[in-house]
Amino acid sequence: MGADRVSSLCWLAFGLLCIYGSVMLGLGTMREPGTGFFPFLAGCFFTLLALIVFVRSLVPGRGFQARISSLWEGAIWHRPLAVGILMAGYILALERIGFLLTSLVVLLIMLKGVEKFSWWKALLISILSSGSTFLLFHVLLKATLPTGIFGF
Amino acid sequence: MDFMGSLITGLSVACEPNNLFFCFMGVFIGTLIGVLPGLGPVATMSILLPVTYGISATTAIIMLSGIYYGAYYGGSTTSILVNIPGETASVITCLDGYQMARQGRAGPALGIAAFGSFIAGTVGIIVLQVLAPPLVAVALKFGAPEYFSLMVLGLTILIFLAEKSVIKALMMAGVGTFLGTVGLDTITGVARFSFDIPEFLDGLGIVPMAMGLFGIAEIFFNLEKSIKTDVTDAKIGHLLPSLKDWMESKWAIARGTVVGFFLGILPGGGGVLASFVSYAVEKMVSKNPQKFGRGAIEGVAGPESANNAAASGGYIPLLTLGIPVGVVQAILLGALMLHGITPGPMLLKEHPDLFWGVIASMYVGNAMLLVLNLPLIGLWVKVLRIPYSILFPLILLFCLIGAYAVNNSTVDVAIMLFFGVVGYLMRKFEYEPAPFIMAFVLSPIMEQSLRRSLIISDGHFGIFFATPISLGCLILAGLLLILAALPAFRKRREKIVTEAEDMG
Amino acid sequence: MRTMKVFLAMFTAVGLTLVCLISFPLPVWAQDYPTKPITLYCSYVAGATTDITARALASGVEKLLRVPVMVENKPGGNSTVCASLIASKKPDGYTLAAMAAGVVNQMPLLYKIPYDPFNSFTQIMQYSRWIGGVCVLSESPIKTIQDFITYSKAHPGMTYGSPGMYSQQHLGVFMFGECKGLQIKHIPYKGGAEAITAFLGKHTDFIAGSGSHIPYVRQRAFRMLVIYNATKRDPNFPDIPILSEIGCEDYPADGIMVAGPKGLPDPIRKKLHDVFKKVAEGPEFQKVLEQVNMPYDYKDGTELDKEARVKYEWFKAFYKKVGLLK
Repeated sequence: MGADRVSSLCWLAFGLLCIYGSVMLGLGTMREPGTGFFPFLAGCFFTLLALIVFVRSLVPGRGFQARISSLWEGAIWHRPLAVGILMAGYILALERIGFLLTSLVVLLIMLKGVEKFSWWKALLISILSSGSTFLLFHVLLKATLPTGIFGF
Repeated sequence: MDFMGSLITGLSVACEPNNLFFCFMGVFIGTLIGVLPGLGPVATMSILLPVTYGISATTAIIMLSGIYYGAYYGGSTTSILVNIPGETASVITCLDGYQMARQGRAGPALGIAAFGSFIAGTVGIIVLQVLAPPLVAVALKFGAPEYFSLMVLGLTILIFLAEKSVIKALMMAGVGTFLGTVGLDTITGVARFSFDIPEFLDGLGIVPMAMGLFGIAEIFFNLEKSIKTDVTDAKIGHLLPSLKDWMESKWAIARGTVVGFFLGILPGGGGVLASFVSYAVEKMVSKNPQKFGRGAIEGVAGPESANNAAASGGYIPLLTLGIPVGVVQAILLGALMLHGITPGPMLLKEHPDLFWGVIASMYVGNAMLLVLNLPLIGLWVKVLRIPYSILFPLILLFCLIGAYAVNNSTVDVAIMLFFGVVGYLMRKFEYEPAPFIMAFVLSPIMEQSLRRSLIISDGHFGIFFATPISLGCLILAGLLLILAALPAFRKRREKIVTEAEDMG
Repeated sequence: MRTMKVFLAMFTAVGLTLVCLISFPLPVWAQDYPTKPITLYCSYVAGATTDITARALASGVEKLLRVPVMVENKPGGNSTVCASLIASKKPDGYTLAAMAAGVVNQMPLLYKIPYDPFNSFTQIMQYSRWIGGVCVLSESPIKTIQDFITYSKAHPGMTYGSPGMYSQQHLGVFMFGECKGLQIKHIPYKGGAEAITAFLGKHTDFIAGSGSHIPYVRQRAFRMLVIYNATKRDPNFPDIPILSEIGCEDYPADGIMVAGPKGLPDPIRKKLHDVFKKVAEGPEFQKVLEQVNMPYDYKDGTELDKEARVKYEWFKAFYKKVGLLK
């Protein structure tokens, strides 16, 4: 299926959800618009446009017709995926084990696993980066960074 | 007091060694903060508030102000170098600034941003000195209907921002408008779409969102390519803008200053709006709009000037009436009150050295910033030489901390990651993030003004046509819409689109 | 093969994360308290009135307790963001909050909140409350509140701005309007500053001031006609009547309190209470209160605890009466 067709369908689905949510909030009247009034209008607007994009995608030659698989042709897709998952892990761990440790670990994994540095290099860069950013933010700028259960 | 007299009074205060020192501290920290993505002037100013206890009120405001406009200087740096907006107001600089960097023109981009900021900031202060009272009077005339019409005008300008498909750009604007409603509804006090997450009650964070949509998405995009291809493969060219660059940018800077200043005076306006509008204006008046998004220097010069002019403009309501136009000014207000000074209409009469001293210090500060930032350009350009495989984890780390530091909350970091993924997918499927962000920013103001107007007018829509300002904005918006639909313009757009597709 | 390595790395990360999700509680002894820095969260943005008072308290408490007391801003949702954050923290006395007392008895009725209002906080003490007054521009022909009532009856539909929907300022003026049978229109804004800006631009006819109006009153830009959310006259403005004096029921003021998470050990709570009270009553803090135009209104935390349920029921009945709740 073409790229536009798929994406517009996704937006369409999202749009319908938004419209539903807005209606649930209450539309009010024209004279006294309710909480859901404006989101409803916005939701209808982009859902309608998504529909137009979808219809256009059915016409050959209009819009962005590339096939989905071609979008990722030649792309090393598991790298962004790995980094994304690592970032998610970072977010979850950040407040539990504190900034310094989390940064160190995640950086290490990224440099070793994703970028294929040697253990030595990866460790060095991780420690230097985590340490210096910690110094910069926590000590110099006094921005409070999470300290986690180990106390630092 | 006449212009020169007050300037001399002010400069004599601003050039006291104490004030000079704190001014420098302020702009230095401000630049640093601006460069670091996420952490912004708001967080830093609030952290440094206790430092101001021991110094005089004037010195305190001088330092805090330095942080504020210093941040706008630094904010463009990461936008240009790595497509990560250091400040929300620098989001639009990503569009052309980053492209310029990829073409080896990072130096001129950074340079014109610094110069533009300096010129706009300084001109802004001059106007502030001379025209403060009449400008404030105009700003006050903006009530709910006027704001609504202004927002309509703003959204209409969005059409001109669209690179490729207008329909898709409009769709993104729609989504952005919708997401702008997430949070506590001011008018009814009801929480919308917050899914019981308290951090959502104030709306989705724009800073993490922008960082994700532009910066993280870019990183994901770059990761897909094999390590061998360097991201910035073009050789680094000149370090400073050439004469040609200056000729191209001079009007952009001028227009940006005007636009930015006016939008800065309006409560709720500010740097973000100013930079977006400036970009759109530049694209509208340009002879070859297709170069925008591909490294047009006007696309950097205009917005960067605009956001600095807006920073200067924002001082007018604060100093003349004691009204803060945004969170930063609210902090300045707080600092003043901590020192026992209540800003208001009487500020000029009761504390002239504070008033003129702060204004004069802004001239000094802007000059300091120029001197500080220009030599750094060489340093930043060298940073680009670092292999991407080492660079990107560092950038990522900075983004993660930066997003966290905005509100000391992991929710913001999660928002950044989420929109990073969304931004990445959007790029793949050819949807543009700029209209989305602009609509997201405008949406709350637009909605609140709409509903307040309807409350005042008891539901009659005529209120939007009742005052000259409101009517004017709507007529302008209408004209722009017609312009967009006109056949001649249509052809021009198609030309842009086909050329864009050719360029790939 | 490379993919395998990547996935291995990812699993290690996940595994590490899971291990660290088990946290160890640290024991606390009151006589040694405090031994490390204390964080005081403030539920409003930096520079806001509450923030200024929180910072002033923090610097005073720091001197007495001899550990750093850092103020961090966690604004949003009318104090509820800060409230839910503090509710989730460990009750070891190192995390406190300066926020609206209404997070216990008012907000739960108006918004869906993720914390249990009666079982989330140890209220240490209240130190101030918000105030307000109805103001007109000084150029207006209206000179007293009686003038206002007459004028309003002759000109129904006068508009007024307030710092927010259901804010105590809004509700105070609302009750005033109900009581005197006035037809007035409420325009909600986000915060006092926005309301003042609109009022200065003459986009509203009068304003429900929320404290930020005082400098303008002092500088004779505004004229204050009546004070609401108050039980007695403001000593700084002895000539201005309060709502109850002109025969109307008033909306009670929300207070600013210092609180910790539920389960704060008694000795620590007592220590904190005594220290905060000492600082609050000291001349430096009183001066700050004066500068930001807030009254000193002390209430012991235990008193607040006792009142909580009662007040909650009162608000519930009130909101039902005025139609906010069904």
